[in-house]
Amino acid sequence: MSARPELAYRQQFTQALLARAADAHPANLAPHEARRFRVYRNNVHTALITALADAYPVIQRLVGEEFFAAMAREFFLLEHERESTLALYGADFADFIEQFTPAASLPYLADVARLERTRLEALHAADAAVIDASALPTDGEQLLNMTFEPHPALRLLSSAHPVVSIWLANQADEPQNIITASAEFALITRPRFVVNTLLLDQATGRFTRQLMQGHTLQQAYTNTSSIAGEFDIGVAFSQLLEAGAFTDAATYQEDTK
Amino acid sequence: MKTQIALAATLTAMVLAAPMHASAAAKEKCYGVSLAGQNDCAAGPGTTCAGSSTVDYQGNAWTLVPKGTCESTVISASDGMDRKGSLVALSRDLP
Repeated sequence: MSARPELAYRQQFTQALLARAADAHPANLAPHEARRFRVYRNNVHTALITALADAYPVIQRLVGEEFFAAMAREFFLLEHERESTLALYGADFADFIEQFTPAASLPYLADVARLERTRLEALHAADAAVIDASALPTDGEQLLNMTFEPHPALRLLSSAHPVVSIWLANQADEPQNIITASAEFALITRPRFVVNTLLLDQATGRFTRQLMQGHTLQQAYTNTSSIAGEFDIGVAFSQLLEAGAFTDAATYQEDTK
Repeated sequence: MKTQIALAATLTAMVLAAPMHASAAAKEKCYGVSLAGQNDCAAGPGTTCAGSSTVDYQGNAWTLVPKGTCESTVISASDGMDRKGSLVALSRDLP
């Protein structure tokens, strides 16, 4: 078939674009064509670095532009699955960072990247109307027996590092960078068009996970307080409602399978 | 352990007190938000046609150390030992 040589050439072209050697180019190019190819290749690399920097602005800020660009380059020169959408490029960047020895001095870096990625995914998640708190039963006992439908953009991230504090410190122009080492839960919501990032305490984080798994408020409370000790379910639940975590509520039916 | 009735009461109080999220959020104007630059083609910001000087790091590959805000970030640990987020400071923790 006549399409085959063309396909082979296209593969060679793509491989040369992301090959490690700076002078990589498809075979049989005249010297001036090879120079042109290098310009094109550099634009592709710069576009990928820029896309990653846009998706991971806090990572770039933490490590600085030069380190970030070099790390990003190592990332895309590796073989890995590629998103065809540039807006979603770099899904496994956090996993890469975790294995990336020159960044090993920053043990929190991979989880901060996960937080940024989670925010990006929340941004692109489906839209949905948030549950109207005034439509919920005012009878607390009835409420306790309800389950809640997570909003499509709702994400919960738990980390052994103070990822939310680090992320927040790097939103301001002059970061206040004295941060207490602690495990943190991040709650990501996007009730309308803006992504919210909230720091949850450990108990509320576990409670939220239970609700996301489809447990009733009562079950979630019981399961959480058995691990994390007593906590204020009213404060925790209203925090979730206010953040726009849920789209719907249903009364739990014992027998439904 | 709180009784179920006490639980129910604290829940009801908090839910009734929760602000009406939908009406407040409806004032937000931005629509179809997409991160700046991500849909740009290679002719957008960050594009360079100057050969490869901005992205080639082969020469000094991995002599680079993080130089951003991590350098001024102090993670204060519970053992009272503060660790700077930089390469040098953390070498103390190596075995």
